[in-house]
Amino acid sequence: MNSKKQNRKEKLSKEIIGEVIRASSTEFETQCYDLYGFPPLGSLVLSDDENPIFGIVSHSVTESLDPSRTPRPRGPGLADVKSIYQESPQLKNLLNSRFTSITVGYIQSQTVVRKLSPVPPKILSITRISTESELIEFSSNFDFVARLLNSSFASSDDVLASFLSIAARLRPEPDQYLIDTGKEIASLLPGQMRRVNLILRNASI
Amino acid sequence: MNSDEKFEQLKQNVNAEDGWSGVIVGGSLSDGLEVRLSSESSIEGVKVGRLVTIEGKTHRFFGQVSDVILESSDRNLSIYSEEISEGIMAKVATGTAAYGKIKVQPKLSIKTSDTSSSPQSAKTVPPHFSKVAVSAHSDIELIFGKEAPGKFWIGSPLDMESKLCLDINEFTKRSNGVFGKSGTGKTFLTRLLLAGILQSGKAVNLVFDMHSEYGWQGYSETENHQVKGLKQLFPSKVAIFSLDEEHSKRRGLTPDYVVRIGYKEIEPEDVEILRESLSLSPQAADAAHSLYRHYGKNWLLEFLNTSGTESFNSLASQINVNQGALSTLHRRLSGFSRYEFMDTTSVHDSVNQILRYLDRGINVVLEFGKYGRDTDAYILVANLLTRRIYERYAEHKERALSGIGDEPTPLVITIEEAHKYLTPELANQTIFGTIAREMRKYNVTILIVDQRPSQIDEEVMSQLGTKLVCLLDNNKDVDSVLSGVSGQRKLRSVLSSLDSRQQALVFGHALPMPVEIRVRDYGTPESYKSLGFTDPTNKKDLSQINQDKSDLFG
Repeated sequence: MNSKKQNRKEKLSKEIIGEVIRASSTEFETQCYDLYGFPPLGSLVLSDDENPIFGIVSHSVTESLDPSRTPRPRGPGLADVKSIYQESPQLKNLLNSRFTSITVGYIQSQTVVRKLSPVPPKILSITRISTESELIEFSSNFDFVARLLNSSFASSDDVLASFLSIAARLRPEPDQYLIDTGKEIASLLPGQMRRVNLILRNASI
Repeated sequence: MNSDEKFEQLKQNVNAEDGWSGVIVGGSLSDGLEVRLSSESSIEGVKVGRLVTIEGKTHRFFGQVSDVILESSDRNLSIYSEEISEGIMAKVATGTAAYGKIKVQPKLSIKTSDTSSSPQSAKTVPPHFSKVAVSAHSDIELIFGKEAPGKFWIGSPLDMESKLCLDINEFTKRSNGVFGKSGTGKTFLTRLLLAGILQSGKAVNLVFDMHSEYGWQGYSETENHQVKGLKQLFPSKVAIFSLDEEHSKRRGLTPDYVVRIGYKEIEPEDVEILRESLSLSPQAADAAHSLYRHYGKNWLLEFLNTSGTESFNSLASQINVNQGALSTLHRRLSGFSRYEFMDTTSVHDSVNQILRYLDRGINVVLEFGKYGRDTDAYILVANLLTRRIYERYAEHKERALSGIGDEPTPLVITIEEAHKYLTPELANQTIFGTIAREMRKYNVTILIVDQRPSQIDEEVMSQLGTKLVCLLDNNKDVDSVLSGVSGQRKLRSVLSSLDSRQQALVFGHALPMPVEIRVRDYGTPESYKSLGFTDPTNKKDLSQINQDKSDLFG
């Protein structure tokens, strides 16, 4: 397959899910176009500007658009959540879903750089889920592991495990991928083999 | 080739099942360097004693693995070892949190920019993170030299196929020793050394062959078959002398000369060195000197012919010796009469015969036949002949020093069971003690083959240039062999881990560093061929000879 055709096909499959609404050097927050439209924890996303920046989804939240009007329970007796949304279509406009991604790299002259971006993404840049090939290329080098482990997120180990689980599944030998990454994690966390074990256990489920 | 490429070449066998490599992470020159093995290395592939090459910044170092250690970066690893010992976690932990470390003792170094010179002993250590790998064949050649005239292939470093060579020139400059328990391959090793000396032409051998195993037809205990002796391999360069003609003939050998010793040739010193084995008191041994003064050269025969109490009494009073001591001496010395090689009539020519052969560069093996079982006979003959040969060599050498004639060809005298006559009490009196101490002053050195080095005089042991040690497990013997050697503690562990066959630890002047070797094969047709022997009965060789004949003469 020639590369132009492949590029077109990949572009079509690029799934735009929202726009950046808050950005810093180490993380950026995206508001989803659709309620509950956020990608799974640990997914690799890109704020696809002229300088695309890679992030790993580390925290997602859905809440009222107006902080002063918080949702109230409708129950008891209403077990079917789906019917509530059908009966009250306005909910989609009153609530919103957002997710935060830890910045783990960027693309410069078509090369993946696994470092913090020199500048954060611009507000209202679109955010999309990475393609499989982007994910495979990005995860083929383990420099991102240190970024994740050093982030200020309390649950960064779980985020890392989720990311590894997604990345490993795309490979012909998932276990080998986990072993190779595991060695990198073990060397970054000397004397903490139990923690390393937990990450890998979560990643291999 | 730059050093990185060189190192890549070195690491070629890391991919093999038992391959390994590592980097220096600490250590010292005195205690050895600590090397962390790379995660893909197999710790079971590392063996103590293995030769390794360390690529420093400006120098390449050569050393030996002295210890293998299992390390862990996590102090609590043992607590949750069960949790992580299975599945992918075990693979993750291996080489990261749980890793192999080895200790390497640096021995030699050479400038990377000048590998044409020979390596010097290491006076410093390579820096952190220098790469370490098993020495390549080219390194072994760089350290020990290539097989060439004067460089004799003695064996291979353990677990390697490279040929490890001994510098025969250096070897023959000093007295040397081959030690090991009985049945560990001393004789095979000695046979090889003799062949090496013989091939090099740097020296001639005189072998006092106690058990008739060097000259003609030896016996391999492991393979249960006959092995060729030196005379069979190098017929034109070896002469066999025999003390027991019948024994030699029974083995299908006609000796070149049958040695006879005249009573007149025995001197009081020869009795002195037998003092212990004949259980003579110092007074009785001294009496021999008095008898010599009294009777002159023919003292022994005259003395042995004395009989009757009266004659004894008068002799005792004449030479002023205690009569009891004199009769003890008489009783013990009369044992000599059962030696068939002793001759009452005249002074024999054995010494001159041996010297004539040696002068022509022909090696002499003296077979003792049945007298090999009699230590007294062995000591008496070996000491007597050696003393005279040594005197002649000393004269020869002194003449050469004053400008008359050439220097004598260096002579290596091989002796066995040395612990019986090189004891601290006797070493000063035997000629062997003198030779060992005076080294090559007169171009004569000894090669001691023995199983109890601890019984040999310390001074003699300390003068040995090169020692080849097969398995020894008596602590005293190990101490005595290793005394005065640097890194004794580590060599001790190497020595005790030797196999009981065909393995030896070699150290001293003829080698730049101590090394554990698998001794070269001896006894197979291939081994004879590699020593330069062509079998005249071999049809292939015969047809080659015929072909050559017709090519030459038509």
